[in-house]
Amino acid sequence: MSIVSFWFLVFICAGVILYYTLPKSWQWVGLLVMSILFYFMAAVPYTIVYVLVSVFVAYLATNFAFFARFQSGRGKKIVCILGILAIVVNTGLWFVLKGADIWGKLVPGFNNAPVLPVAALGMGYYTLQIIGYILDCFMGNALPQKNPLKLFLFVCFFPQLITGPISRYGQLQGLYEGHELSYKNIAFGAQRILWGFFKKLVLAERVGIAVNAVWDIQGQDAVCLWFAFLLYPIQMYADFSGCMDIAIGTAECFGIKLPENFNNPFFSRTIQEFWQRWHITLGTWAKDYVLYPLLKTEGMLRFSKAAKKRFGKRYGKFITSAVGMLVLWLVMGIWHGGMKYIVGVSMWYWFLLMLGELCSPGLKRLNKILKINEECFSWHLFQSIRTYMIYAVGAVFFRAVNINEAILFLRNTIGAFFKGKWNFDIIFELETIMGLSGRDWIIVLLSIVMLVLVGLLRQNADYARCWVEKQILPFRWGIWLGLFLFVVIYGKYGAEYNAVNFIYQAF
Amino acid sequence: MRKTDLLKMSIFIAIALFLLILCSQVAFLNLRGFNDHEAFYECAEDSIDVVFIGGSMAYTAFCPAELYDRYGISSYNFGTSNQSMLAGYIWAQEAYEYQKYKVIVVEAMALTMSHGEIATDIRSLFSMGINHNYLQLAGVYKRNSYKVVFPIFVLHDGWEISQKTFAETGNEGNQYLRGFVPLFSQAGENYQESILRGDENATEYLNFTYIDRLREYCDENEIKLIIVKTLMASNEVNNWNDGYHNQVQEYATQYNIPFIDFNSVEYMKDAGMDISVDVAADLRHMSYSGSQKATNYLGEYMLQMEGIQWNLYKDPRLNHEALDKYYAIIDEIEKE
Amino acid sequence: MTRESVYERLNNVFRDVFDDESIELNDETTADDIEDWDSFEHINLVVAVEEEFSFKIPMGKVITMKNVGEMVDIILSMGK
Repeated sequence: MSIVSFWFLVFICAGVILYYTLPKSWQWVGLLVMSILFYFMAAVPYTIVYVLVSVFVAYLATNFAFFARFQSGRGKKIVCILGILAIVVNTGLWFVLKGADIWGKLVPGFNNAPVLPVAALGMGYYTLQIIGYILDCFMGNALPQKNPLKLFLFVCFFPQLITGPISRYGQLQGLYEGHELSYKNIAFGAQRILWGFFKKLVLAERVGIAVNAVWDIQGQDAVCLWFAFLLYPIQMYADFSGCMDIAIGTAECFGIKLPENFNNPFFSRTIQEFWQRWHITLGTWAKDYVLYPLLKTEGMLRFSKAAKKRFGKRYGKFITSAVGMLVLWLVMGIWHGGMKYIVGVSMWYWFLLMLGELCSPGLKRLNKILKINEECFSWHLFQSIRTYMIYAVGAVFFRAVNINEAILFLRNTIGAFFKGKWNFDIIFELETIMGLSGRDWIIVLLSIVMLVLVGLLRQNADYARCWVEKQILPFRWGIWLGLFLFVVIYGKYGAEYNAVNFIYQAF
Repeated sequence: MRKTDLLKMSIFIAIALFLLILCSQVAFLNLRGFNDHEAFYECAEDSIDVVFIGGSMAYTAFCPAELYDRYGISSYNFGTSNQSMLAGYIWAQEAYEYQKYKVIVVEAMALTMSHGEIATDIRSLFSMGINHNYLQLAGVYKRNSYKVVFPIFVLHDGWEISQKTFAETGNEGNQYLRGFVPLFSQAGENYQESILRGDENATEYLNFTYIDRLREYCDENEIKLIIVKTLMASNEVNNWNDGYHNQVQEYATQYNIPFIDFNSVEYMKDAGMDISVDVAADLRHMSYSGSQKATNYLGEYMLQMEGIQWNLYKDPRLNHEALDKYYAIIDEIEKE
Repeated sequence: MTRESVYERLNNVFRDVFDDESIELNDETTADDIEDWDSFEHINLVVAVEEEFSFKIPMGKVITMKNVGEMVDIILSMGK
């Protein structure tokens, strides 16, 4: 069962009714039952064993260590070892089951990604969450959870199981509290879910048709390639953030607040800002649990001192940050689970960030000389477009099957400026080539405009739904019912019915 | 949560549901297929004795007006595009609620499609509306049952509210044609041989689930079941072959069901059929002349079946004027 | 150690790390108030503070510190 489906909505309705009829102290049990049910419906059931192992290991390590920590010397050592062991087990599990694409290529004897048992659902997400919990306990930021079932709930809470966001243990204490049935929670939650369905079904799926049409046929000419190149980020954003909306909205119905994972990423002025607005929870997790601990180790501190001595303060700092960032970005790339992400995520962004840091003072001076107003709208627009293009390049690695395919695509797309065939007549045949009619393109445009407006509202004022909440009832209901109809009528739920095909199906 | 909040929520949900149903109804109208059967519901009570089901091969080959004119047997042809056996079975049940028919003829191509895609099956059943028989589809398409109940989810953005939506059914004169669609083109000289070559080359095993259910339904209600395969030109690739023929023959023999395959030489000769003239230019469907031969053959066949109380020439809707109108329509179509 | 003396030394550290002599800290100062204080500089700052006051800030606090005031509290509680 996917979270973007009719039956998931039915599941939520049933779940909400169950939740609020339970006494408050039992509500978390209701969530646990729902999460387990959801797991069995959405994944291969036996794989829940892996989740259980992860939770079991973490539970033991944190609770045992908690008692041992107050002993001196030897106790502390045991604590450290337990913690590291727990993390290693979890990382190892993830690596074996999901990282196959990576170690399959590095370890000799395996030709490509070997055929492995199926991984658990949402393994990348819950592994990070459980490691975060272990580290939080060991760093003193959280008390270990004494109830293993409650810990299990933290790990497999169903709205965030498949696509995140990656929550911190401290953020999800609401899971264990009782919640009163609140009109606002249900209404806001439902609105958010509706918005997510809109992004996914109306925009992402529709754009996906065009992008797939280009990618599935090799040797397209330049205009088509550029269409796909420029459209794919929209598909990715609408898809990913749409799923986020559904997850966050679902949790909100239960009175639980999940962290935001997106914040108008294409409004970003710099790459650095981009990663504070795109997949926010992954970036902050890596920063807090990888980068900071790394930079505080003895080894790094010594390295940093040596670098500063050798290359001066500025470049010493730069080299240290380069090394630290490299590790951080490698982790983020590897987490995505494939060699191509190491190029398209890790290398690409690390390189640009380093480049940016080196050139930034120089560019600032250049802007001053050219008297460019960095605060004006047009400059911000330029930066946003730049951000978008940079993301588009990295995104190619998400769409391609492997590194070679990605590079080929990029070569064809960017190389088109030099020796491509630019056949603009294709614009009149978009429907046959990319499968989207004129009306479809209008819907895409309209949807993008809606996203931008809502984004601007959130950036400058507040969430759009808060603005809507203040309006009079007929207007509010008009908007939500209108959006509902828009999704029902213009959502793409799968390929069974295509108006164009039907015409040829006459007999 | 206060009572007013609960009330608000309920009203909102009610309105949303109402809009969903409204959209689904309009979408459903757009799912109207080629060849609809609203005319069936206007037939006189208890007048119909024979029912034809199947895909396009059924609606081009079996002609109720001719069957009535020549033999006095009143019938209705429920053929629809790409009709699956499931849809045909549902039509058989729907029809029996209005007309206690005595014979049902299944065009064998439907046996190669146990159930179709959701949209195709919905389209086949369009004329009966969303009633209890139609909703059997929901039981079959379990995962997608919500698409059956709310057809907007199948059609989603492919429709427009145009004249077509609220127009009358596309088949004028269907009260005379009764679901029959004549084709006046012909295959020509190049396709003389039968499509059955005596070699076993079925592409897959047929699924007999719904013909089984139909058979049991017929047994319960004392309806005679006949399976017919219409004539096809020898160049028609992959859709009918010895493999399919043999599987159906085996099934028919096992349950004592008459199976008439006009592609086998004996039946072809018996009915006086000739591929070059009796198959249409698309090589798949029978032409008008072929349909007359097929219908007449079946008429003879049915009349000598045992145990049937026929009401010959008793259909008030197919009187002389009606038949005259029918022939006029045929002439018109032929001239086009 | 008094709060004022801590602030004096802290100001020096900040001015050194950010290369900006005009920095004046108070309890409410956060990362938003100082340009260049991003997530990477944050850790540099922490390391520099640890060096200045000769103790290690626990990793847990590094993540949860919200403003300079909290940082001073931590220093005061640890620096005995």
